Amino acid sequence: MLKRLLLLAAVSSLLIGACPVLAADSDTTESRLQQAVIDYQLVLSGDQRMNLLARCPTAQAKLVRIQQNTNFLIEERVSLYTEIQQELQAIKLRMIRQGADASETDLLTGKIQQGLEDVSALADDYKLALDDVIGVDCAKQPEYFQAGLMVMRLKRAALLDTLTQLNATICDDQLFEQLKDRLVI
Amino acid sequence: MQQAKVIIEANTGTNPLLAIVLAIAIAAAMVTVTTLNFLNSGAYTTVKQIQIGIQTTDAVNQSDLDIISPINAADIDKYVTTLEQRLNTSDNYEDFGPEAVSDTALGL
Repeated sequence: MLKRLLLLAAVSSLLIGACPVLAADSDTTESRLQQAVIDYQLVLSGDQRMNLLARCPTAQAKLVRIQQNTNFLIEERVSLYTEIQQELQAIKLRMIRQGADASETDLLTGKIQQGLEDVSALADDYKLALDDVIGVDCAKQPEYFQAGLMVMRLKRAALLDTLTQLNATICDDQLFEQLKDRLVI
Repeated sequence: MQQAKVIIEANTGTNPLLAIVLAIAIAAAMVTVTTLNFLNSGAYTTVKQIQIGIQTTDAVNQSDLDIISPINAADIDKYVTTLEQRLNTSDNYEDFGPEAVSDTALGL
């Protein structure tokens, strides 16, 4: 009986182990920062360590303010892009009533949706990186703070890049010129 | 029932009730794992996105947006101008640029 129970336990653990998504979600701040230290091959000199120990609390306080503002900034943008999607749909409906082909609006709406998804995913990554760097104990692990800072800057840069690209996509003159052509003809 | 249980135990050395309970427990564990996996997966994200897309169309129909009046090229031009202005209202570089998190800005 005991052998059977052990076998069942082994099978169950195999099934659970086969869920990579769950395994990824079990990541902790500690493990993420530890991995970042390894990835960046981060080694602090004595001076750098002392500098971080002295100034880290101030830096973390400033990062908390940035973190508090981030949710608002992201929501503001998501709201704007969603509004634009709706306006494009409205334009499409008005054009359709006139018998004009407005399929370009669907294309742009789709691109905005894709951009919104990318922004949401990157914003989540960025917020997680901010959480990590704010939550780390600098006195005990200054390397982790430094590595977390580097990760957070990368995520922030990726978010900025995606937002910039999305704005450029929305302001694509060619697409609106095509719409105008359809209305003139 | 009791007699059948005794016979099964005698033949296999297994308590059928225990086997049933174990099977139910394993099934429940698998359902939980699968559900959590789905909720954390890209598939669930896609489902949510599709819902958002449908809501977008519904929202247009229910919103105050003009979906009836005739539209011409000048209207499109006007819309593009306001669109650029609105997008430029939020300065992405100021909000997410590297300066705010530089060593200098953070006092490091």
